[in-house]
Amino acid sequence: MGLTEKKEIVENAAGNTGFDYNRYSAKKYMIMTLGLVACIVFFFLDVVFSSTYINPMQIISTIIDPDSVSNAMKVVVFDIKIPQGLMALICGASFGLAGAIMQTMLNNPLASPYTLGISAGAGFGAAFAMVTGLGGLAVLGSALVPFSAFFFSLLACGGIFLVARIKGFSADIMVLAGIGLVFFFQALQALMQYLASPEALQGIVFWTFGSLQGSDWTNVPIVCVMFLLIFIIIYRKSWVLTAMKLGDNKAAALGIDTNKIRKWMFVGISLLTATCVAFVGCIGFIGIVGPHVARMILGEDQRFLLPMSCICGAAILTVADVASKVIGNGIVFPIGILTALVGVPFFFYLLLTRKKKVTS
Amino acid sequence: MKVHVNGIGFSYGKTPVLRNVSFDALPGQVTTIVGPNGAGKTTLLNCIADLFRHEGTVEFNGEVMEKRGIPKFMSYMEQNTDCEADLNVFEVVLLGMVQSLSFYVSPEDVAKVNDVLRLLGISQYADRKIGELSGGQRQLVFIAQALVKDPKVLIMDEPTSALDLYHQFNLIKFISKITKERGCTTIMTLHHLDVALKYSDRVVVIANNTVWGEGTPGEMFTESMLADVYRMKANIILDEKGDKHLQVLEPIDETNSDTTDQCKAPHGEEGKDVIRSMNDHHRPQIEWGIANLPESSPKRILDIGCGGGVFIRYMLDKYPESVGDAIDISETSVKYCREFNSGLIDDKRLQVTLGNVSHMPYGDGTFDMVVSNASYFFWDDLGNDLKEVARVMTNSGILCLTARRSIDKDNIETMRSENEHGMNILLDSELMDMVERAGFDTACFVEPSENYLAIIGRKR
Repeated sequence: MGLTEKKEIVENAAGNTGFDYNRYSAKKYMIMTLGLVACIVFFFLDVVFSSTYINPMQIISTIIDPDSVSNAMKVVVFDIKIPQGLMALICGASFGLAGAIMQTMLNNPLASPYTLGISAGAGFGAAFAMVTGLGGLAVLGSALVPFSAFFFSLLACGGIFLVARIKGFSADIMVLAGIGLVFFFQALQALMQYLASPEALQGIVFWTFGSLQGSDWTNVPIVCVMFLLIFIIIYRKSWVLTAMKLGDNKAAALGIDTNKIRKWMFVGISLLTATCVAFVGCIGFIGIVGPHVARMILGEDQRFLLPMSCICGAAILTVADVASKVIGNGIVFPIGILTALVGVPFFFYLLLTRKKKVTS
Repeated sequence: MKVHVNGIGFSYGKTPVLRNVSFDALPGQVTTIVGPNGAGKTTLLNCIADLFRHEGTVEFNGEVMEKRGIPKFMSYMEQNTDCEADLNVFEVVLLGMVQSLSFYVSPEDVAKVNDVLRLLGISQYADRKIGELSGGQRQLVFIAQALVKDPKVLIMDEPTSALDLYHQFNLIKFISKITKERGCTTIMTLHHLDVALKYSDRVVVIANNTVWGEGTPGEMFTESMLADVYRMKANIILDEKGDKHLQVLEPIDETNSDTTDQCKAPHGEEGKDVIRSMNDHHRPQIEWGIANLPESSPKRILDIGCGGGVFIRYMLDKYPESVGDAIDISETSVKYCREFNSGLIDDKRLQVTLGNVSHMPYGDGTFDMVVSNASYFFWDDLGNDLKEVARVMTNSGILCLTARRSIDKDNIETMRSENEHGMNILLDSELMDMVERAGFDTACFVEPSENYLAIIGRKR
């Protein structure tokens, strides 16, 4: 009897000290650390597994002792497999970050990095380069397609930026302008496909699936620097972005200039997404599901949500890359198809097992 | 921090929402803005918080903010409490300090949030998602969010709209207490007038896009304000402690507007038309009536039931040496009368007061002449009201009651049976008797062709 009473008193005392925010945050940090460890493991698996008949043990021994293997093997591991694995991590993280920001700033759970026409612009840019060869710019060689994709995706963003500058950077205006541009560039891309030779057409279709196979030590650092730069800039605004989740009016009432934030966030993620898309194509799904998974696990506080979205995006893309090599039996499956095939069942699992609703 | 609102104007496109709104809000006081739907209350708060670009200025301790947006010393709580964000209550309240939060949440900030949650009695919801709470609980959370940064200026738009009666009273009482303890300047809109009457220090009534009136709750909450601004019939009841209480009766029927009510206490736009027309068509009977008055100038004249103010103007014209007072129970009439006679008021010859004949705010023996045209019909307790009139008059003071009669021995029974509004329907002789009983010697004058009546009394 005495014991029960004492226990009640202790519980009451705990209740009076209020909500233990530090413990609540510590739990989130722990989950993020676990996610980060998982990403490293997935990266390792991604490097070790191959579509070709290379024994994983051989790759491990190459990493441990590079001098013990042939030059060809060194090239395969250090110039192909590791850059590709890094590209999967960084692009996955970039798509995750861009998706999270897009969902926050448009206050729409359906938003993805592609909602505002970046993929359509890039798709057209790539197709345009493949079909026309871009005349005088042919000197760019293999950089031609990424360059054109990057240019046109930023052109699409520029269009939205101009409209929003005139009408204000409200979510509605940006989404409407984005939808208009998506249709516009899709029509142009269809026109390119109509005009394309069978070879170019195949190239266009393959490009739209997305692929990590073009990764090398030139483009990985570019994407990496862009990601770090944009992440740091955006991450500094994480409190403000969290407040924007309360809705524009409430954020404004907390002293936040929502349209200004939206403008700069848009510029940042446009640059980031356009860079990634230029090198790996329009890998879909990660940008929409990565942030949702992160949100289900850690909630809406963007100090946790943004890194966690990066972690989820990176994990999904890396796992998809592993799967694309393992199931292809000698052929690398297009990664864009795999991301959805791998991610959707997991996403549904979370959706169905989670008690609380997924909210915007 | 003193907030000085100066000439605020705002339009949605070409539709004006606010015109020339000015008032002051002081530290340690709750300033409540009341008014009907669409009067512009929320827009006014948005202008004060500088969320809308507006005409006029808002000064905080005499300074106009240069940077746009909500300053750090101000909390603004909007009316809408919908929120679907996947954030828990603690996080939502923490965001109240978003302008000063560092990346790592300091123990002091955590303590502040826990304190305010405890103050509002919502600690037990701290880890609940905001979207899972009821509307009333969410409202408390957003109030906590507004309070957590300890604002110098607290602006709240309908903070009690989603709360039950108990919580409405309790919350505003709490806000009033906090306002006094912390010396912050609280400005809020409220629809619940009982709460506003009880806990406000100042009341600003907004109607027709501008300030209808400003003052203490006691000054502002009058039957005529409720009729004029809210189109509601209401009683203001004084309890034994002298506190005012509101008894709201029923809406004023707009479609079948009650002419008697309008004549007794004109209100609203229609009331202004009634006053204007009374000012016009009362002229002949007033001119005839005052011809029966003595030529020697009285010192101070009172017009009871002054309406649009035409009678007192005639009187002060007739007696250029005199000063005058006018009283009416209708706020609209008082305003109209002041505008109509603004010259006399500027010359300090006239004061217009809102009040009831049954208890007039004048000392004994103040007036040596009292006039009243077509007003006694509506006096609630004519016998005693006449005694009250006698009280404020000097001995040998002159009373002049004028009216246009439509009553005689043949129709009086019918008129009395149809008298739904409790008007005083009296034969000339009956009225004379009442005046006599109130302490006057009387004489009765009649203009037969127009049926004008003047009863002249001299206080015994």
